[in-house]
Amino acid sequence: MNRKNWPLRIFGVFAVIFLLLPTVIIIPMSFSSGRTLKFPPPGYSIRWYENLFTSPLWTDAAWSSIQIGILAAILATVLGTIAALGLTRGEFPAKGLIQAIVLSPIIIPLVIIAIGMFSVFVRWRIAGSLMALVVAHTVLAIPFVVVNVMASLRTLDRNLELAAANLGANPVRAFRFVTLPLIAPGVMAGALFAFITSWDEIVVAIFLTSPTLRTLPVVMWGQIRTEVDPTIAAAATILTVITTIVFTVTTILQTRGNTTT
Amino acid sequence: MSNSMTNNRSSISPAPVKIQELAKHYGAIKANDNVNLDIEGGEFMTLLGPSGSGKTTTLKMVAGFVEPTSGSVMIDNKVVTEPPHKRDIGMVFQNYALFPHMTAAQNVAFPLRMRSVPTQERDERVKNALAMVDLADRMDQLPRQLSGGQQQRVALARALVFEPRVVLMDEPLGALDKKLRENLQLQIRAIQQDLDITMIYVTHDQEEALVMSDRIAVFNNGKIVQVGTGEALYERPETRFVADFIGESNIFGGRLDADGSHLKSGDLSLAVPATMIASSTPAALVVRPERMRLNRLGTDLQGSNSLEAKVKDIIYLGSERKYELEHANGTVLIARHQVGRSNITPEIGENILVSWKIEHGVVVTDEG
Ligand SMILES: Nc1ncnc2c1ncn2[C@@H]1O[C@H](COP(=O)(O)OP(=O)(O)OP(=O)(O)O)[C@@H](O)[C@H]1O
Ligand SMILES: [Mg+2]
Repeated sequence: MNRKNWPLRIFGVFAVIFLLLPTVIIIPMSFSSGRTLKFPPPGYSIRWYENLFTSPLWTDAAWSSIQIGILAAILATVLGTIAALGLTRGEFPAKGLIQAIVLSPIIIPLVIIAIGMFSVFVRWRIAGSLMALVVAHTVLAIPFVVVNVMASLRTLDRNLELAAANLGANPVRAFRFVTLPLIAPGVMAGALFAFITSWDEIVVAIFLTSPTLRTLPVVMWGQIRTEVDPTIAAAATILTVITTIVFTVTTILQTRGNTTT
Repeated sequence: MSNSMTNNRSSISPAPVKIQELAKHYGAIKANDNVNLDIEGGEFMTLLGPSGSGKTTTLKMVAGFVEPTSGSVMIDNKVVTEPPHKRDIGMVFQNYALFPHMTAAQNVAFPLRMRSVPTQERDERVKNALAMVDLADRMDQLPRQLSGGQQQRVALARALVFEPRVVLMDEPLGALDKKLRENLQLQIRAIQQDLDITMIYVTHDQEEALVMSDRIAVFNNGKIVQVGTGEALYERPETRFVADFIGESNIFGGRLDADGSHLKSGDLSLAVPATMIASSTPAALVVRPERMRLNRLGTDLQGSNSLEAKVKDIIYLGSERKYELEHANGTVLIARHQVGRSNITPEIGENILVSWKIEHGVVVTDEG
């Protein structure tokens, strides 16, 4: 133990508490035996988890969130990987501008994107459908895939692709047998980021959901304003646990990817 | 080393390669400028030249990785325009470019997989190719589990296993230590002759070029300045650049006099053998160090050029001695002799007469 660093240590501990407390405090509340959200809970039970897993309001929302998340992740991964390939390997005019446009959903305020999409989807009469949410979340998720895949591609030795061509692989096979296996950690990380982007997204979802199709964050938002019962804490805990698992896997993939290439 | 691959290709005769007026310009940079080269089937041709002289660019245009600005490449008397994966040319890259996620055997099998060779034949050929480079026992190791020399040999096996029409190598031994390099030079040369392959080999190491090649093309500034056997380039260089680049030389720059019998270099006038070079162009006289004789002052030398010089240094090189000599006008000359073969053995600081037979000088042009 280094004595000189104790102010820094204390500061660090406070920072971590500050960041984690709001998340962690939800967990004991979700195991409450009372009927309202309260900290500390009056006693412990798993009745709110039972409610979460049996009430159609919550199970339908969870199912929608999972479907939308997986579809958006698949679409964003395919499109984002193709975009990353073009942006790293291709040579065409206005490349920088196109890259900026592809990455722009990261910086444009979500509410602006939400309003834009809402007005277009209403005109197309698809607002409130599963497809509309999948498309919207795909757009939001693509930049994360592009960033991850481009980082992998930049560390990939260009000569490996030339060697594949030289040995008789056409561009598609060179990608499938050489490029893709070597950038796979980046692609996987991008896919998981994409899933999480959709999984906990609420702003665009509020605009695009309908009474018959609601995602988990949207239901939570609705519930907290009407009846404050601890099921919402149980849902929040599940949401947090899944997000944490996905991020851990992503981080492991990324560090592994960095050491093998 | 087994020659089990020979049977497979005995019926195929090796392909000649003809490079015609090939040019590649990157804006103002002329990476290649009017390159012409005729390579016979089964020939080992080395492209030799300093860094940035355009060797890799030529190789890449043959492989199809770079589109020429103008000119063409003919293989087997047909102009090649196909994309790289249809050219059927083997290539070994400087950093080997082995696929890091595949074992040695999978790397070597890759070109056969791309050609849909049946599994059983494929396994057989992979085994033979790896045996040929003495790596039969390393089949299942990943590239990072192999040493540099072993990776090099896997790359070689991979480039040969599909029996390409031509094999290209870009400084394949650059990253290896001297002993391993010499060992692999001989191994590559032996395999090339064994399998009767047309080879285009890039290096900037002149010794390597002399050891391995049938002929050498010397590059400078994107152009080929001379093509010939190692011996021809060494004994009969055509330009000062070639004389300087290949082996050690004594070079006197200047101009020929009107009748072409003497070269004036500063205050020296040196007799030269008959030459076609005009007196209007800058010229140089080249004399190899082993052609230089050392004599006592006052020796009468007929049919030779002779200069008085002081012995500045004597370097002992095992079987040879190298003398550094300085003429009164500051010109430094080098002489090399087998130990025990020189007519006199002067000491450092001694004044002597250095001479060479007129016919041992070579007149070259002096414009790059
Ligand atoms: N893609 C490129 N864009 C611009 N200039 C290039 C490009 N590729 C090569 N050059 C230039 O062309 C010239 C020849 O390059 P090349 O790689 O053929 O040389 P080299 O003889 O292989 O040299 P080395 O021995 O260093 O490998 C160099 O001046 C190089 O800077
Ligand atoms: Mg090069």
